[in-house]
Amino acid sequence: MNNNRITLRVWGDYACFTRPEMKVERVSYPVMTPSAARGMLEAVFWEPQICYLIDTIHVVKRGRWFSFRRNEVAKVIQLGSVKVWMEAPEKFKPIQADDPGSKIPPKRESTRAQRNMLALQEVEYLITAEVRPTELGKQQPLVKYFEEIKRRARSGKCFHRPALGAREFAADFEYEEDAVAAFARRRQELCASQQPYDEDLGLMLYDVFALNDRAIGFQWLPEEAALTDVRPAKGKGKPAAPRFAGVQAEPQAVFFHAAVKQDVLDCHPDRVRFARRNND
Amino acid sequence: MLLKALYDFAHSRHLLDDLAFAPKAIRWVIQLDVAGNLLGVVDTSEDGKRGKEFSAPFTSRPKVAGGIAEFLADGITALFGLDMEPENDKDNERKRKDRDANNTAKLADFKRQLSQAYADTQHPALAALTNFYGDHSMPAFLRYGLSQQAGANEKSSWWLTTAKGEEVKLKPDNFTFQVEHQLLLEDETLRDWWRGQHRQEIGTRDTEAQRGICLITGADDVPIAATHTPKIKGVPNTQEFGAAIVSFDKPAFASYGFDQSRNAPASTEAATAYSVALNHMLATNKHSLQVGGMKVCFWARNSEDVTDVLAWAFEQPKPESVRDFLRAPRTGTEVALAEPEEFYSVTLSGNVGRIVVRHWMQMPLDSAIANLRQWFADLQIEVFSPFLFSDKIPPLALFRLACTTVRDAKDLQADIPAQLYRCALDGTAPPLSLLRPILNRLTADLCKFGPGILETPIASKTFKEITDSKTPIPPPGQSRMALIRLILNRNNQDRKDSDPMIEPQVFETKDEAYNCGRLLALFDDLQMRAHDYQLEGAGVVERYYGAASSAPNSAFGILWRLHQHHLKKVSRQGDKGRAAAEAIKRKIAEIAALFPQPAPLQPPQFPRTFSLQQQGRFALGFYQQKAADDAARRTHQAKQGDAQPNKTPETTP
Repeated sequence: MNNNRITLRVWGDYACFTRPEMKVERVSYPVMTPSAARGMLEAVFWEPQICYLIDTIHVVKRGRWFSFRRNEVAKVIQLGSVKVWMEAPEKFKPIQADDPGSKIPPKRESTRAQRNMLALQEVEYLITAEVRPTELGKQQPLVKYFEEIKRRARSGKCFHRPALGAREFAADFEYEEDAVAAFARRRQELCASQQPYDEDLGLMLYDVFALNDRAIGFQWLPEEAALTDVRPAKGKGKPAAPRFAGVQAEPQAVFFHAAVKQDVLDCHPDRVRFARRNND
Repeated sequence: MLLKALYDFAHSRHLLDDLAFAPKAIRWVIQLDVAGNLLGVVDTSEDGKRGKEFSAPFTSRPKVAGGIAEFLADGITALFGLDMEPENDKDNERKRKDRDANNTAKLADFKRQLSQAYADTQHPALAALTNFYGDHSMPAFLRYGLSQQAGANEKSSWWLTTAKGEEVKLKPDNFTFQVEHQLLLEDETLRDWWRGQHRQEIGTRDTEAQRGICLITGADDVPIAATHTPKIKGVPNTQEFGAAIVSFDKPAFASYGFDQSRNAPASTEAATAYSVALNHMLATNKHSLQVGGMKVCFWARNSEDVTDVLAWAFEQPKPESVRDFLRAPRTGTEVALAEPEEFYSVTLSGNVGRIVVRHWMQMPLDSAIANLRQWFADLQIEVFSPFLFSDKIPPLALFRLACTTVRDAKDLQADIPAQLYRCALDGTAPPLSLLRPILNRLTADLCKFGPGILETPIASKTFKEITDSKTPIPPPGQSRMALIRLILNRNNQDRKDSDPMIEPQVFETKDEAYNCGRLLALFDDLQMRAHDYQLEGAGVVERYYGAASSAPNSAFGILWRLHQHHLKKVSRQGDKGRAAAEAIKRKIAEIAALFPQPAPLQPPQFPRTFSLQQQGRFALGFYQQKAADDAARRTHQAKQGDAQPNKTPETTP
């Protein structure tokens, strides 16, 4: 076992780790997915030189199921309309979630869509992840990043608020030295004499991007760097200088056979069984 | 997990064996002779509304785009290229054109299948059909226009002349053919041909589909379904032709630039399997249950019969059978459970084109049954006036329990029955907030109609009063009180402070709220006795229940004075009256002794207010005391009845 592991305790009032098959009328997985865990760590600290491999997820509080309905919209924001907004805000027409049956003029085209959500209430997890350097970060000492993560997590800093599955479900987090000890401590604090949680979850989403692509790393280059990149121009016109280093990966869902054993969801890529190996 | 469980269900119950056919209501049979001459059209329906169900060919091609007809049995558009509503969109040229094009394509598709089947099988009946189609496109038995005795505002519609010569207004019904007494749907040659055709359809669909990984089975390199068919029918608040659980038809529903159902890749086979499984369950009441605006489906992984107990428990829990269920803990279902069984339950509701999964549960079957038994044990409560209950829905049915929270059953939101269903199966406590509407309804009904509403069934005199006032009939007392007891006790279990657990019958406790309720019941009884059970108009319950249950000190101040008058009146009714007054006085004194008395001969000091839970216990104390007194009076009367055989005991309703 190498020492490049960090543990973050995360908790929040609500969580929805949406299943892909039921993502319109959202239904959550019963436990946090590895990709949600990765997202939380990346909210605290991430640079193209490193990537996270989720090792284990301890389920401290499983949460209760609850369902509710909200008014959402059916359209997505178009890039063009954002540009209009930046240039002439008065011309911008927002996407409205008003009542399509409304008799009150003016008659507008409504894009409201009522959507239900079956989510979890009051959850707490311990995320243990391995920090690995990407191709871009091979020259750097890993300890530099490792220490930075620790420092940031200890003081509660984050780039954006970590969230439990959906951005509206903001989460709190805390750095933990040792996952097993932290788990035992929390169990005692919650004075829970619960039975250990064992459940076969069936197929679960591992991540939307293949792990190998992640290990290469991706980085936008500053404009000057892109210009100095000398590449043969394709045909006539401008030189086709890429604006990034690394690979631009295609999204490709990866599923694994998930099972919670003794309150722990094991999800290290070396130990889990994928529905499809991401390298074939 | 849900879809996988459904997929397994479809396989274990062999639901996928004959997908080429599906049950279909067909109302009209067009009869032809061997030469293809029309003999007449016969109505198959028994009630004149809905056609008889036949096993009819069922295409796997998606029908959303239009222009697709079923083989042998379909509506007039497919059979004759006619529009059900020819006048729709007549002002909109483009739409009208689309409709016409669709109708023509549908007819062409229908005819294409017939001629192909004829080419392959050379079936003589199909030759007759070709002849039938040969000479006319508009059949003689159809007519578009007004009825014979047209009213002023009548709109044109399709009329069909049957073999008997009657003219019947046509609805969007299905037709099929019969040649020389042989129904083509039932002809084995044609059925075999269709099976082959269906296999081909599936083959084309699968070769045309993109390949990828299936998130239901985990298999790789399988054809991925672009849309999941067949559609799921029978969920409330969805359209009649069905809806989908997995669908991504709006830009905001998709992610990462994925198109359609590639957002959730599932193989064509798995998608069909789970849809067929759900449709199967929704169509039978052995596996599904309608609660409010939701449909609950439940099943056990392997065995078929064990889920019967659930359908019974929520829909028809007759008092006798509940008693048996509680008394015989090791019979019936459990014996069948030699090996551990997994139990699944899913709650579905509709959102127009999509199906919403409201709740999903998976647990060992024996713990589900144990929880159910606990549910009925917790619902046990003494029944006030236990006559044979003849209502269609028993008092402990889920629907009745849920109705205790509303004035009228049609106001019931789907959430409440769903919540109760969940609590029954996973053994948790319903939220305390449910108490508020139940108690509000109880107070309102008591103040309006008096204690008669607490009886099960509701006392006949009160029942008449309720119907006369055109108020919806409230659920019987047992439903209300059983649920209040369950909510109070289950929420009380984990708490350290010592609120008493409420027993099914009246019991001795030091709890103030419970005893105040009992006291009010005694006062009520006393008043009734003072008026020789002939009191018309509002008694103490109608007048003071609301105040007594929320602000007892103020209400009981008045009640205390009143009861002394009533006592005096009773004691004047001869020797018997004096004895009765003494007995009641003693009972009241016993309870009153639990409250501090500021000075001798002064009324005791009652609490100023009661919290929500206390109000619940007040209601139960009141109800149980009334029920106990009533039972005592009944046995007394029965004894007297035995002594004087000529006088039959009073039994209404």
